[in-house]
This record gives sequence, C-alpha cells and structure tokens, in this order.
Amino acid sequence: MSWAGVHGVLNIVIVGVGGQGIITAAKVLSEAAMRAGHRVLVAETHGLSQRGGSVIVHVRLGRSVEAPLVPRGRADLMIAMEVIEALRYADYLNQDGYIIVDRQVIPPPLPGIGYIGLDEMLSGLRSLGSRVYDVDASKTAIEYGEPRAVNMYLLGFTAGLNGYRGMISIDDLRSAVSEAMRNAEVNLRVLERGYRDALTLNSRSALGRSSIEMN
Amino acid sequence: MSYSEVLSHPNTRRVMMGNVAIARGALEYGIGFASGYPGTPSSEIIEALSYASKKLGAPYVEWSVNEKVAFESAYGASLTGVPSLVSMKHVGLNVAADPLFSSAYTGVRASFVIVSADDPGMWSSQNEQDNRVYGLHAYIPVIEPAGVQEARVATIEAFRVSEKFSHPVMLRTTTRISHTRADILVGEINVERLKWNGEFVKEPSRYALVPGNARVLREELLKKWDSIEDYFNSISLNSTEGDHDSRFAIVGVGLGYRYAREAVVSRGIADRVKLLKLSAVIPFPRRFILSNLDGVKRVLVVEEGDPVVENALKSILAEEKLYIDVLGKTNGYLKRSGELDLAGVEDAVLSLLSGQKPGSMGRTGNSRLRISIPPRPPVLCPGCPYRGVFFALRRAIRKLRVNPVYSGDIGCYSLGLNPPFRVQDLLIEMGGSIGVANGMAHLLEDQIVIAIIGDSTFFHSGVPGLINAVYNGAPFLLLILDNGTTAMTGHQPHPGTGITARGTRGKAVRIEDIVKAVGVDYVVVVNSFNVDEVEDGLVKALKYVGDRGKPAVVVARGSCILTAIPEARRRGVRYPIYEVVYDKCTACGVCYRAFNCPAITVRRDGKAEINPVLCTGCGVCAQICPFDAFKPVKKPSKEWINLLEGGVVGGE
Repeated sequence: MSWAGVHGVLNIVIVGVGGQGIITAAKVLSEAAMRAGHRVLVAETHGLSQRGGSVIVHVRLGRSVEAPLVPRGRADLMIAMEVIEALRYADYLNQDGYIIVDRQVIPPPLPGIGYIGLDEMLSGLRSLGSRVYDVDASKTAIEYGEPRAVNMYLLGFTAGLNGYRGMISIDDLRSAVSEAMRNAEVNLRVLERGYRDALTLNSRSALGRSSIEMN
Repeated sequence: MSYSEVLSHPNTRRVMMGNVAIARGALEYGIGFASGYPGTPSSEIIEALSYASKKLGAPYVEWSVNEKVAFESAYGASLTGVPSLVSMKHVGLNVAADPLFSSAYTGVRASFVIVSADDPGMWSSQNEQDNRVYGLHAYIPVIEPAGVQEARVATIEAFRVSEKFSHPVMLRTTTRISHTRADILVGEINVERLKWNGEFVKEPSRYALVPGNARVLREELLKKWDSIEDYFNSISLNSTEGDHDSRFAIVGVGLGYRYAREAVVSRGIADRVKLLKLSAVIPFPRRFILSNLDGVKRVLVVEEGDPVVENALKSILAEEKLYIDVLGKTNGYLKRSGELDLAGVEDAVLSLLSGQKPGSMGRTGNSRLRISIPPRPPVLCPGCPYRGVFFALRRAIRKLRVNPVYSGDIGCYSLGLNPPFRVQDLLIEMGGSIGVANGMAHLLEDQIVIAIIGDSTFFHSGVPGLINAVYNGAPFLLLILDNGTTAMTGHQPHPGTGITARGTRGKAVRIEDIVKAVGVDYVVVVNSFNVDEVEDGLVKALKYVGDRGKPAVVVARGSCILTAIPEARRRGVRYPIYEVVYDKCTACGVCYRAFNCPAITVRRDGKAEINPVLCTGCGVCAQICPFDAFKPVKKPSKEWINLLEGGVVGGE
C-alpha cells in the first residue's frame, strides 16, 4: 500500500448551542462535499453534551483525511451560530482562518449571569486577529419565516466568500439541501440569500467602499 | 429520524454515521434479530435497524427493557439458529456482564455479535471504561474497526468470525467511530437472508451451565481461544504498511490506526516507520505482532481507551525475552485520559524517532483572548417538564422545612445537578437512585432521602430497588419523572409508551400499576406542567414518609417538549408563545434565577425578556411569576394542553 499525501485538506469547525441545527449544517456540508467528489469525515457529539450546551462539530474534507477530529490551531474555517461559542472555540483556527458568525448572543441560562452584550463579545472576537465576518443570519432567517435556517444562511454566505477554498460550490450545497432537508424550499431561499449577501459584500469591498472584514 | 442511508443502493457511496454503517454491515451479513437498550454513543444502531425493519419487513428488532435482557434475547435468538446482534453503550455491558461471561462457555449456534460503544472523553457517560478488557476477562474476541471508514466491513467480519467459531464476538467502537459520518461504499442486502425461522436443538451438556458441564466447557473454551488467536494472526483486518525494514514501528489499534497514519504522513516520516494496523485485537494476535517486530528497536502503540494492547505487548515481549522499547499511555507518550487527538499522536510519532518524550501534553487555552467566556453547561430545554417539577420540589422542601438528600440517576434530569435546582446530590449509574436510597433511608436521622428517577430508567433497573424498599421497609420518597420517552438518547420508546422499536403498538406497561403491584401503599400521579399540583403531591407524600416510615411514590407525568412539539406540528396544533407584561414585571428575577428557563433572559434593566424562537409555550412561567407578568400571545388550545399532559404516545 502506498502513502497518500496530505494535500487538499479542508478543516472546518461548526460551533454553537445545542439544538441550533449544527448537526444539520454538518450533514448538508458533508453531502455537498461528497457531491463535489471529496472524502469526508464529520465528528459529532450527541446525548448529554447536546442539551442547550456548547457544541462543536468537526468537518474534514480531502483525499488524505484519516482522523476524525480537527486539531486546535488547524481549522481553516469556523462557522459559528452564536458569538460566545465562536469565542470559546476560536483557538481551533489557524493563522489565516475565517470565522463566519451570526450576529447573535445567546446568554447561557446560568442563574445570576447578568447581561451579556453583543458588542463586547464581537469586539473580543475581532481582537483575535482572525478574519471575522459577522452577519445577520438569525435576523434574516426570521424574516424568511424559518428561524431554524440560520445554518443555511451561514453555509451560503461562506460559499459566497469562497470560504470552502474551491472544494464545495454553491451548486453542491443547493443539491445537498434539496435532497437532504425536509423543508427544502425555504432553506434553499435562505441559503441563496446568504450566498448573494456575501457576493455583494465582496464586490463592494473590491470597490473599497465598505468592508466587513475586521482585522 | 430518517435513516434512509442504511438502505442505500449497493456499490454506491453515501454519507452515513458509523453506527449506521454498523447496521448496514449487519444487514449485508444477514441477521434475523437485533436488540439493544439506548445509550450514547450506541443508540443509532438499533434505530437504523428499526428503520430497515419497517421498510423490509425484517429483521426482527426490539428495544429491550435493559441491556441484560437485550443480551439474553439476542443470545436466545442465536441459539435458535438465527444470526443476531445486540448493541449497548460501554456501561450497559456491566448490566449484561452476567450472561456475557456465560455465553463464552456455551458458545452460540448462529453468529452473535455484541456491539459495545465506548465513550472515551465521557461526552455522555459517567466513566471511561474500556470494554476490550471484558474481552480478555470473559473470553470474548474483540474486533475494533479502524475508524468509521471500516465500520461496515469490520461488522461483517465480526459476524464471520462468530460463525466460524460458534462463539460470541464483540465489536468495540468508540464515540469517534459511532458518531462520525463518512462516505461509505456499501454492498448488497439480500432481503431473503433477513427472514429466519428458528429451531432450538436441545443439547443440555452445552447450554445448561451446571458445574459438571461448565468444567468440561472451560477446557473446550481455552482450546477455542487458542484457535481464534491463531486465526487473528492472519485475518485481513490486521495488516502492515510502510518501511518494513525500519527499526521504528507503530501499532495502530482500531481508530488509533487512522490517527497514526495521518500523523506519519503529516509529519513527513511515512517512509521511515513500519505501521501495523490492528483491528482483530483480542485474543491478541501474538505471532502477527512478533513477526512484524523483527529488527524493531522501538514501538509506539496508539489506541483509544486504556493501554490494553500496550500492556499485552509488553508482557509478550518479556516472555520472549525481547528488548524493544514500548511507548504509549503507560509511560507518558500519549495521554492516559480522554480521546486521542491528531496533535498528540503527531508528537508521539516524532518521539518514536527521536527517543525524546513529548513536552507539555494537552496544551489548551487561547492566549490571545482578553475577555472571559461564560461557561455553557448543558441545561434542561425550554419547556422541559422537569423544570416545573424541580421548582415545585424546592418549594415543597422549603414549606416542610425538611433536610433532603437527593439520590439521583441517569437521564436528562441529571441536569438538575446544577444551580438553581441542585436536586441530584449523587448519581452513579442506571437505577442507582433507588438502590442507594434504600441504604441511606435506614440510617439517616435528620435527613430525608428523595430518590429521583426517569421513566425509562425505572423500567431499566429501578423496579428491583423499589421491591427491596417495600420488603425491607425503607422510608424514602421516590419521584418518578415520566416524560413518555427515553429522552436523553434521542427519544426511543420504552415499555410505558406501548410502542415498539418497529413502530407497532404493543401493550403499555403503566408505572403506577407496577408501583402498586409491588406493594407501595402511597402513590400519586401529578401533572408535571402544573406546579401547584406537583408541590401539593410532594408535600403530602413527604409527610407520609415521615409519619409512617414507609416508602411513597410520586409519578410526575408530562411530555418531553421535544416530542410534544413535532407531534403538534404533525397534527396541525399550534402552540402559544408567551410574552412579558412589562407593567407588571418588577425585575424580581424569580423566572430567570429560580426557574431558569433558557427562553427567558434578563434585559439590561433587570426585567425578563422571552426569546420567541426558544419559547415552546409550556406556560409554566405564568404559574411561577409572583406578579402575573407572563401571558400567552394567544390562548393555548385544548389539544396543546393534552399533548403536554401526556398525550403524545400511549397516554390513554
């Protein structure tokens, strides 16, 4: 047997609060990756860890991927459904890693935790020096009448940024959503909206008028 | 949940979870019987087989009442000549350990595979036990898939080994095999091979383990064990790659092989080491290992769990008087607790070449981060029936001014451990709440024991403890939380629901009937979503325990909100969302401190706020607010109230 090389590996972590649709996002991503012809590994946690707790799902793509977990410091991309969780797992990112995060704080329901501000958490995230894209995913999902479609917005937005580094296209995602999701129609629309928002943002950045890229 | 991928077309690739790949392997081999008890990370094996059974009409699949019964059932099926599988989480095998040991003595007729899903890292478990040790202890061969990638093939191979030797075989997985998805190439399912009629051929000298028979079988077992070891020396699941003349070798055991393989490639030393892949692990294939360690100076063992192979290797090398350095978990090259990780294995493979021990292990923390991140432990869901019950329990205790000891158990209610409730002072294992309460109740003077157990756990192993309490007169209160499902593991049905794993309606076994039948004189059933009713029931029952010195039982019934909501959607029943009446809210904090619903957050001014996305319309906040400051946006319908109060399944 010959050894394979480690070229063309994409390490992704998807983080958020248990129940937000993190596993669904990973499922769609893995279906899309398989359509694009990649080997894929998705490591999930279930059971006790899932009940409203902090959740991380590891997604690894590429021909030479063998092990299921993304090592700390080596994720190329973080898709975060919530800002506190983005902060918690930020050390998974590599130097050039992208964070795509919903502009949303879900305070942990701990008695006496007090008020937690979005701005404070976001600025903490930006201070890390990663490329942070904070987006209105939950707001948009609610506008579209499907609050659970936050994950779709973020997946689409990442495609629009070329966050999958050419390994997964919006078409791969579209067909994965059509096939894998029960409520495909509205989810597709939110996916599309995220994709378009990222394209618009990119073209604006190119013109130098506005930038959400926070360094 | 749909498991359509378990029936995907032959010779295609589909993304599936390791547990589903195991189910697929069992279907491809052709089993006629499968049983199990839910437990993370094993539950999806039986769920996927149930899905297949509903679609294909076979094999027979059941959720058994506990792991011991599940094991015995599948063993019984095998004795009738029907290939069978039993699945459980690692600690479930403790419950089934008694028949496990005996099954090795009798052997089996048709192939019989025991799936043990271990949970290193304790993502959803009370311990990190490595069930390969059971293999050594009980003379049960152990096969470990080399990652999810090999889960399907290793399952088929486990059945073949069992068939060849008429012996039970354990398939040991871990969380990162069971709960990892990968694109899996599948083979063919022959539906006819899933339909079996059993016949039991009597052979008491083999199947009746009285001492006279067992002594004979013991000798037979030892011989069989040697021949299985011999077979494992040349089985295709075990193989080698890399530089065969290298002085450095790695033994990658099961999932450990995947970490080792990626680590040597990513560290650029793939052509400098020899890699042994070990998937048929116990009995330890001595000749396979030794023949491949010829000329080796140093060997690293990478395995998930305890250093089982590492220790076996050391003892064999000692016997053979071979001096080879063995690196691994016993001497600090890999960490002893938790899961393997790629960075740790990379350090270890570099150490293999350099001879230097790796530096600080398990480096964590984000040095760049300057703000503190609040913890987020798992919590009871918004709308969980247990929240109102725990709130009422605390109120009842305050009212009676008694000093409680909360003997807890395994389930979602274990989360009552955390503030603000703190109603799980101890919890050790399934059913333990009642057993432990038995002992304490006879000895405590100024404290009163309250055992808290869920419905599925009560059926699993709570009943004998309750019988013991009646028989021996142990004075404690037993609170049974009946949410109509096995919630924590993903909503599997249990005897109380009357629904079987195949979706057919069987007879529902009522908890209160069992309680009465075993002789408990005081039992009441209360509605979990009615705080006053629960409090009243608890106060009276606690008084009974104190006055009469006998056990009393309160059954708090109310649907798991995660089953009520999908059922409401299916039936077109709308559930109300609640909102805050700000004129009335005084910022007292009872709702977000003492009641602690995740859908209720605190505003900057200290008043409550309801997150409409999280609110499930259970309505309990409106009962606990002292100022009447919560109201439903729309009046809740009768149908919704019915669903909450236990109308989801089998609630007639």
